[in-house]
Amino acid sequence: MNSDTSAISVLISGVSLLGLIYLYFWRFTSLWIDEFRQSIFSVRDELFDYAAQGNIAFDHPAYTTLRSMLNGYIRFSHRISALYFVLILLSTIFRNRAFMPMLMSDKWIEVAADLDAQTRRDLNALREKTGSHVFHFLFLSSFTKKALVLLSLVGPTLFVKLYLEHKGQKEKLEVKAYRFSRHSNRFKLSIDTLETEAYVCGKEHALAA
Amino acid sequence: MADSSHDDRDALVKRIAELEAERTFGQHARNISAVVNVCKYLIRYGAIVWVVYYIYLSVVALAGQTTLAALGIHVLGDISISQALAWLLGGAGTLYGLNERRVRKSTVAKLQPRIIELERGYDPGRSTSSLTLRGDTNPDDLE
Repeated sequence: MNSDTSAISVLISGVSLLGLIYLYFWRFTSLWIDEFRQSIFSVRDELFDYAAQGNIAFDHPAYTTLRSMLNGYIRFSHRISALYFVLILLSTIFRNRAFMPMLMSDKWIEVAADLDAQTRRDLNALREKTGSHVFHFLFLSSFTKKALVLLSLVGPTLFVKLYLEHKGQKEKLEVKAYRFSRHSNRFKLSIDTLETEAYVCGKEHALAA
Repeated sequence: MADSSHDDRDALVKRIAELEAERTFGQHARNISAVVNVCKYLIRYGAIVWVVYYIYLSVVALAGQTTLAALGIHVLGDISISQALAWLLGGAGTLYGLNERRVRKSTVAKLQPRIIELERGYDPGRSTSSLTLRGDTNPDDLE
């Protein structure tokens, strides 16, 4: 009787665990992807409104490049994950980079060259905003990632440090964290690689259309 | 005149090299994505296999000792009101979430063509993210 009861408990717990696995790996994963897409859509809308107000032409290379990058992020966000980012990071260390197309940062300098200072600043702000959304999606979107960040040794220290710096300022913590992480050249290069991929991916579709 | 055609040819060669680099890079990104997918599926389906294995063990333990009807009565008899309420809450929450998602996707599908049309009025060359009208990943982009 007692072993029956334990077997039934295992059965019931197993079915509940299957439900949790379904919710976590399927439903929540797509929710986080939708959330990320929504944040990039809002940046794309801001860019569109900015151009619609006459600040930049819709066919200006800076506008089309930035829009292609945003389209790429929206299009392939189901591919982006922390593991994907780690592999991209490793590939920038171990692989010969001769096969790489022009990096997004270099491309950006080229296409934004003829913009006036104010427009360049505004568009750079949109690029930065995109970067902080990508950062949030990569490292903070899921429960596991949040738990890992909170449990890690560096997490609480960094969190307190950033919080103290953040106090009295309107900037979000993840924006701070993103800026902080960009001090690392390796990280910067990996984000740049990701941006390049988003641009190539977004452009691929624009060409096909 | 000769200089101009030379410049055009150089620009074309540069453009072809750039497109080739983008193609190779795209392939490289797809390879990384394939590795990530394998890991992702191993974790997801590995977790399912692991849980199903324990369910199987519990069924084996019960086999021959009890009938399906007795098992059903036993399970239902063992459930306390608080457990039943917790399951009801979980199930209702899941259904609510799924319905909210369905409504959100339908709203996106309804509004999207209008937004596209209005934006094309400003920008005839408007580029797209290639998601479906409901905002889902394009089936062609799923590996």
